Amino acid sequence: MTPQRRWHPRAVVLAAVVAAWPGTALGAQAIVVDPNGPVPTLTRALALAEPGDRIVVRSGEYREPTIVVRQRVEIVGEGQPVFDGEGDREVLRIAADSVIIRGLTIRNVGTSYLEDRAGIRIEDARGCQVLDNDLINTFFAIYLARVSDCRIAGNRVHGVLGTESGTGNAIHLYNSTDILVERNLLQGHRDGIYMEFVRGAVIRGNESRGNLRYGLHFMFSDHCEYRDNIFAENGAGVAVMYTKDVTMVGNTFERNWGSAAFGLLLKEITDSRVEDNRFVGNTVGLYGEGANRIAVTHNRFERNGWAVRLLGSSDDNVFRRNMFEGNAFDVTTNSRQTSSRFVENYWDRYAGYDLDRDGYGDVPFRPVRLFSVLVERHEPALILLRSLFVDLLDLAEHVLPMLTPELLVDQRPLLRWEG
Amino acid sequence: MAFFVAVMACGQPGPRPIRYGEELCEYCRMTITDPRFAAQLVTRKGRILTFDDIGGLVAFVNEERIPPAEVHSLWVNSFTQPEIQLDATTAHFLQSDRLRTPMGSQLAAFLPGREIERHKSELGGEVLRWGEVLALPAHSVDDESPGDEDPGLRP
Repeated sequence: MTPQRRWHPRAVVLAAVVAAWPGTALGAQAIVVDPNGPVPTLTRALALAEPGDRIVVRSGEYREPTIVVRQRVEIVGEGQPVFDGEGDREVLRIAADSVIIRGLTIRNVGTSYLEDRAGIRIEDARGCQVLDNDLINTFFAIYLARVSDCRIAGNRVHGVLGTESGTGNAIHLYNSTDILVERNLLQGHRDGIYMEFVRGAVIRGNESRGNLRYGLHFMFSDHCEYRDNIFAENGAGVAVMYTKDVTMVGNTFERNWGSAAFGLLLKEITDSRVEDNRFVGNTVGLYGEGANRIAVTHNRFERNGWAVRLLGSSDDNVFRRNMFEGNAFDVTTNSRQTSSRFVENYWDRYAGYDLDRDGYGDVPFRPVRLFSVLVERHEPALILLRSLFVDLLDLAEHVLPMLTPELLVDQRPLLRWEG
Repeated sequence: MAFFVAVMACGQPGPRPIRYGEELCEYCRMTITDPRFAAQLVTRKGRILTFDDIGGLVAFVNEERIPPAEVHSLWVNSFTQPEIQLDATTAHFLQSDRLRTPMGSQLAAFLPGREIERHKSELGGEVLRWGEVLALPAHSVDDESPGDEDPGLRP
């Protein structure tokens, strides 16, 4: 940092106003932060700022102690200025309402065993906006606690996947309400988006890939919605746990491979909708355990190991008009009794006919292969997957069902998927 | 080396290193990523069940998801040196709301002694023994709601 020159605060403000960005809102002042200018640090600018001010940060590298924003200001980067935490501290902490942070690069926030350090932390605030920032190698990137009515959009978060606990979540929402998270790119963290005790969040148009645990993770977060996101190549795609009333629409869950990788994990969740999603190339497309009253409608399950795995007390789920194609197993369950229903789905394995030409097969389809029941009981049996013996088993069971769930039948299988 | 392997193979069942980022918690099905709070249950037949939160192990044991007669031993990672697994029945536990564990049990395990006292003075909370941990009220998800304060987030 350059040695601090002595300026009279009024003079600085005056100089800054002269250098003001053309077209700023009337009445608000702009303070310009420039490594070689009269206000060389954001910390200094904040000390000079009045509520409602706009602070323009010129490009350059800034190394300052943790910057704390305590009043309503807009901080805008010009040419993506870099704030470096030098591997040990939080960079930006916001403790005021209606703060806008736009166009900054924040990097190098060190890991900590005891604190969840973040690139941008917002606490006890309303109406914040975090827009178009780059966060690189931050332990937690954007961290909200007890926050409402905020918008997190267009940020690019790139974690450096260290070992084990060396990484936190890219966007971490805790005990917050009405948060909009959209069009962010989230990579290389523990969870791409983590939500705990959140109400009324909308997560849309994000891309979350290559994260260690989940692309998106709900814990105890009711009445939320996520749509049109891409979750690819994460440890697992999305986990929705201990939650109710969640809307999941139009997402892509793909290539979440690994011995225990799910596209979507539903664990202790009720009264929710899964609609128009694509599950492609996952070890398990949709895994439900303690999942009740979920409407699974018009999704595509393609080339998964298991398209749907429904375990334990999962009741009253309805799978309607979904498409199953190229999966090693379409549906498995570990019990013969189930109150979940499959209605009017398209199954590429269906070998029936449609004599009355109504578009539905005239004989029911049983999506649970006998072999999958055996695998459920004894996993190593999976090694027999491509053997003639298993084909014979499946055929025998098809003719005379003995072990597969008797109620798990699609009475009206669709003959054509209308897309 | 061969002798060593043979001894290992015939020996008592015991814990093993967890593959973080790959293995699942037996209780909540989450992928285990944070070594500070992980735990294991070893059965008499030598099967190893892994947990992402000491609270998960506690619930699993209390709910007798495995008959008690089949349980060989219980292990919890040391908070300060997670590569070391401590016998749960002799470890000491710190429960502090500044410990942000994956399933919210707020429990971390330590060897008895100075380390746990140091962490207690820094983080606050209570030191518990295994018996007391087992007797904690069951982690009820429905009743869970965040407090007004969240001291774990304070600088």
